[in-house]
Amino acid sequence: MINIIVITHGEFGAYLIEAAEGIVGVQREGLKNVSISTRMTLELIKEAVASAINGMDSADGLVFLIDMPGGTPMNVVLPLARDIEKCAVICGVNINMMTSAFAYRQSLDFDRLTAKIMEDGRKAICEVRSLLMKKQ
Amino acid sequence: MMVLYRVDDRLVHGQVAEGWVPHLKADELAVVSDEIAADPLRSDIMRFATPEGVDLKIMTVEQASQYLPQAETSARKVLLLLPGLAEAVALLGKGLKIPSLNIGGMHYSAGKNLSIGKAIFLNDADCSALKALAAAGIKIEGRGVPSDTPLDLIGAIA
Repeated sequence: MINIIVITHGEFGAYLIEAAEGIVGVQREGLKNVSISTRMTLELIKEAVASAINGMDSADGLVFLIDMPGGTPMNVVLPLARDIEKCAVICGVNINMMTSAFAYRQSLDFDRLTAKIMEDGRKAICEVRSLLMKKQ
Repeated sequence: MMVLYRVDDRLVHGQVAEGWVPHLKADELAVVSDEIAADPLRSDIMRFATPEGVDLKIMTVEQASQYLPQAETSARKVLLLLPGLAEAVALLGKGLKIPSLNIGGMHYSAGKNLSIGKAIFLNDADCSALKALAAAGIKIEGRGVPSDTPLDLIGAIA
């Protein structure tokens, strides 16, 4: 199974996990969350991320779902991700990306899963009033 | 073939699209509701919520009684969605065989005072309908998503 680590500013990731698990079911293993607080020093953040990675390296692959490209989660995880053979760091996490990651991490291989997470995340961004109410 | 018979008042939504469809590898969602069949906007919204590569059919109870016997013998995997127990009782009344029924969501409204799990709220009429369905030989479970532990609803209302 492909493992997942969620790293976000504040409790965003923890609440996103709660919401996504309500939709596709509780993830009993292979999932960790790191919530980064402004009260944490950079050293502390690095330690928290390194300790989350510990034991999550999987032959099937490891996917990091993080919030902002260029934010602290990305800056901290990238140097650590360099040494993990099969891993991806995916920015811009939204709920569709997370439900896809949870729903397909056992059935898709690593490359297909990472492609699907990004595709489903992009598809989720849409203005539905104009899309669905043209006729009215 | 029919891969799931489900009662869920939200019909096509996240638990179905992201939970059950990949779990059962469903090819088609069949929504049976006279109300939705007569409502183009809600039909469009449901089409939008249906995953790519999956067909959506929306039909009345009458149409379903014709369609479902064919769907049972087809190689396509069909997931049936009913908005409430009334549709299940109506299909049964039309002679349709339902081996098992998954109760995924019956949300709270006034008078639905018996709650079981997070998303099932029943009034007296619901309990009678469930008992009638069970008495007809239908195996009934309460379960939101595939990985949840099934709830014994008949045991809970006995």
